[in-house]
Amino acid sequence: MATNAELSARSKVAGGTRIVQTACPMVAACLGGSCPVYAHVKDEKVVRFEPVIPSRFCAKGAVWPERIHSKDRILWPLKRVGERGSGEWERISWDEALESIAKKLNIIKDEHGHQTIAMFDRAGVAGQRFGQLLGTTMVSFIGAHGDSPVGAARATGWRNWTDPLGIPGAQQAPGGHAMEDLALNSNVIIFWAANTAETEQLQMKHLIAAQERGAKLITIDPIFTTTAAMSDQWIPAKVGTDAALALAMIAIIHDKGMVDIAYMNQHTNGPFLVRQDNGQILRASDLQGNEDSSSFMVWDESSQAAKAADEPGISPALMGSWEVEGIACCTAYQMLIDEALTFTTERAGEITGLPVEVIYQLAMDYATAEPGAIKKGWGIGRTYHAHHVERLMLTLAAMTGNLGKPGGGVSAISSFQAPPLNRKAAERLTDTVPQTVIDGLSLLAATAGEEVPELGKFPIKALIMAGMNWVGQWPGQAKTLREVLPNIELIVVHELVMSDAAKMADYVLPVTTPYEHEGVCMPGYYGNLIQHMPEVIPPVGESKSDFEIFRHLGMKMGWSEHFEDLNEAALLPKMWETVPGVSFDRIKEEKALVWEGFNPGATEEHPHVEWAEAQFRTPSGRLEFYAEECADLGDALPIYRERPRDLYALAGEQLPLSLVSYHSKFLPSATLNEVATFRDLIPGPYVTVNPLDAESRDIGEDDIVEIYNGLGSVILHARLSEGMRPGTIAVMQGWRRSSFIEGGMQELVSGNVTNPAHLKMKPLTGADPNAPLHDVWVDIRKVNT
Amino acid sequence: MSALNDQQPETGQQLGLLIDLDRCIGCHACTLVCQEEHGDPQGVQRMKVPTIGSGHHDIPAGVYPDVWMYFQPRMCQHCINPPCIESCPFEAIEKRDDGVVEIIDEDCTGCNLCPPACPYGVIAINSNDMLVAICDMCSTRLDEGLQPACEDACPGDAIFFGDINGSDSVINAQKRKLPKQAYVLSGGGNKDDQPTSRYQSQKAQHQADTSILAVDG
Repeated sequence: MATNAELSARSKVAGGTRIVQTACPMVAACLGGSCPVYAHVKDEKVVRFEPVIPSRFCAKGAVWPERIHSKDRILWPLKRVGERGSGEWERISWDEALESIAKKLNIIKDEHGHQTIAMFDRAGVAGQRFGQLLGTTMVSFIGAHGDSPVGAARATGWRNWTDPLGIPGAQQAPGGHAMEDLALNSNVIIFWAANTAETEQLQMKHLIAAQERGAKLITIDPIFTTTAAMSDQWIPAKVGTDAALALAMIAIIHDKGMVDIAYMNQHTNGPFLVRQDNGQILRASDLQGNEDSSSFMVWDESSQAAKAADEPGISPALMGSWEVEGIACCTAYQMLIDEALTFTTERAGEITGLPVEVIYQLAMDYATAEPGAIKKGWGIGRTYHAHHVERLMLTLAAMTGNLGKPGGGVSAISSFQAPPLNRKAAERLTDTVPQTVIDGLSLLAATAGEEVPELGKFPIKALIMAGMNWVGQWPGQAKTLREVLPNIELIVVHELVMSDAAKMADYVLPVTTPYEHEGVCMPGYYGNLIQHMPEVIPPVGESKSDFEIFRHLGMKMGWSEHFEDLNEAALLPKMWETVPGVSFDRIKEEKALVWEGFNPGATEEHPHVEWAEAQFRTPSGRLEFYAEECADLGDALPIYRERPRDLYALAGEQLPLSLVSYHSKFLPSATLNEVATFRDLIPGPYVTVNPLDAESRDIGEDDIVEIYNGLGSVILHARLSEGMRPGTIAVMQGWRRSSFIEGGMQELVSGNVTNPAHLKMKPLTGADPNAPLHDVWVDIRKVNT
Repeated sequence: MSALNDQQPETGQQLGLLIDLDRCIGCHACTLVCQEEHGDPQGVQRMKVPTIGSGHHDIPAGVYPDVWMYFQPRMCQHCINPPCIESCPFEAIEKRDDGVVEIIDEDCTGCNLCPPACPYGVIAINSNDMLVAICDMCSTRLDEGLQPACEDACPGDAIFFGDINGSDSVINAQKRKLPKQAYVLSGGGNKDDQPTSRYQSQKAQHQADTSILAVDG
């Protein structure tokens, strides 16, 4: 890290340019790790970002100065004057905007109930307080974005991925090794639906370091990504068939006798006896004389009897079936193997589209790696039956002795502990109206007036979107635009630029970027730094921070006693009072300080290893690949299920093509799509199509085509590539509707489909149901122009 | 040949970059920091990162499933015998004592004769003043004791800067630490210009097209 002396030296030579250390705001979106940057400021404009630490930088950060001063920035409050979405706006004063919004919110509250006003869990501390006072419905966004690792959370017992009513930003991340561990120790790394080179750019060097050390890198992905290109092998399994591949691997590893039986017996629910009458795990209380014990039962080989799993001195059988007091039982592992053995390499090959020898070699590579790591991405969770795949990956790791071991594991991102911020400083007020939390996939139903379990029947009438682009980046866009938004009486959007959501708003309130007000960049994902973000430049135009907007709106609502003294500058030091070894003064002084609690005990030589103590947080304290609560759905055992097709069907016909909307190097979620520089670097948007699929539809290079299904459509240019898997087409995600000739990508994705298994698992994990963003079936046709 | 060899700096120094192709993720961070460092307008790329494969951004060559691609940061090669110098009627390009090829902005008329003379296609035209712009190895940063902007930013740790001829330089230290196959750009097969940027890789795909990369030495 540069010293202050170096900094001032830089300031001098830069002449006329002020250099201020701050942080890149893309922490979450790039999964890079909160890179410290020098902001160069000239004439009160940020003209450039420069890395503070060599090699901690990327293109997404480099374009932020352009974003801060984009000609698209919204500079003052806007009121809609034409039809919704017509783009006709009138500039109004903050006073008028907030007065009108407050008035309308009060009317809606009185007429329909406070529950009909919805906010998102990204509104910030003042927003949270505002929501509490109004009693808004809080929408947890994570599942609707496909970022809820339901299966992994269920198997390992991770909780608290997000806390919609907690302090924003104070979250922990589920299960993963530091990539530095993989660099040092892994001999095989399987990127399983992970595109680290593009979406976690700063981490790729660690995995390439492993490759340079001799590790084999394998990428399992339906499309040929940069990560696949940099790997030693690309395994293009068909979209949504990963569970069949994993089961075939399990069968091979079992068949070859390469199973770590001790680990399976001690640390997984593999030896647990499963009642064959109801699919539940046999409890002591199911048996005579043990009514008070809820212990999980195993079969003890020494005494040839069912015993409590926690009883000392027993020898549990991993496989077998027995009758216990008349109840037919079978170990969970036996059930898994029975299922897996039906996935011969031939059958798995047919399902996945992979040659049998590739499947066999993959299983052998992983099982003999000692150690081997699975690096998964969020993509794996974005299919309807994804929870099975996540549970199977963890089972594979456990079976091969790779769980909790350096160089092993199943890692989405490196796990971390969030600093324990002072909840009192931002504490929920007492005597407020109770708030209901609904998950993102329920929002469309709630706004459509359908009954939602948590909320009941309170059709949403007002939406306040702060830090959220519901229209642009959420599934179900066609229904949202055509059926739902017309019923909403008030839409308020805080935005930097005219996002898809802002376009549909009644009031657009201009927000500041993180460089126009003071704040702290929290550690997270791969970044262990707590960073001071000073006010680098004054607010652009009349923009205000989300905090200030909610504070002023709160006062207009008549809650002056709760907002008048709520001061961001005063709150910041208070928030850090409870964090050991850290104070706001220290953060300010050091600018970027290492959060020691990020991965306690980890060192450079021994980077973080997840589940090293096998301290799973499941009810049994073990890795639970068997999820008994899903027995009645047939989902207790992790299995392969075919992808649902009927969601997307068009007048009864099955659609032939799989659509992958992939995350890329440039557009994280729906941000940065207005950045002109990126338009130089990435042509598009376009859909990549194999010539075999194009020819039969008379589609040529650069033709205008429509991708469509029963939900909606999008019109864009075609790019032909023989490298594309036939039957699959791909479009980079993150564009706006206006980037396309017509329509939008999110029109093609169902926005109100919830896998019931996700709901069954939620009480154990807190994980929201996940959206099947990659389960999209479509067809494509040429548009004659 | 002797006339051409006159361009070789007497100091024996040749500042340049070593690029590890196995590490480049094609993110264009180098392109953008280079642009910002030089205050170049949007679209002017002294540092390009083409996808070697189909030629289209991030799209591979080959037929599914046997496909390949890689990224190749390309900038001024600071040739030993720069063809651009010969092409310039105004003597506005010179090779400095440290081996860096430099455009003398005051002498450049914007005649644009040099871009087609460059076998590597790395002379950009600044859309503001229509003068040509090339990698200058970030001379201003070097004067301040800083590394070139691209080397500083590269999230893949793929770029190394130093004296290509200096046995103790960062470049040669890296080559010793992690020996890989060394390459130079082919540039249409003319060996006389002798590009000085070094590329390296341990993968077979980088040998796929010898019109792009030639084995060094």
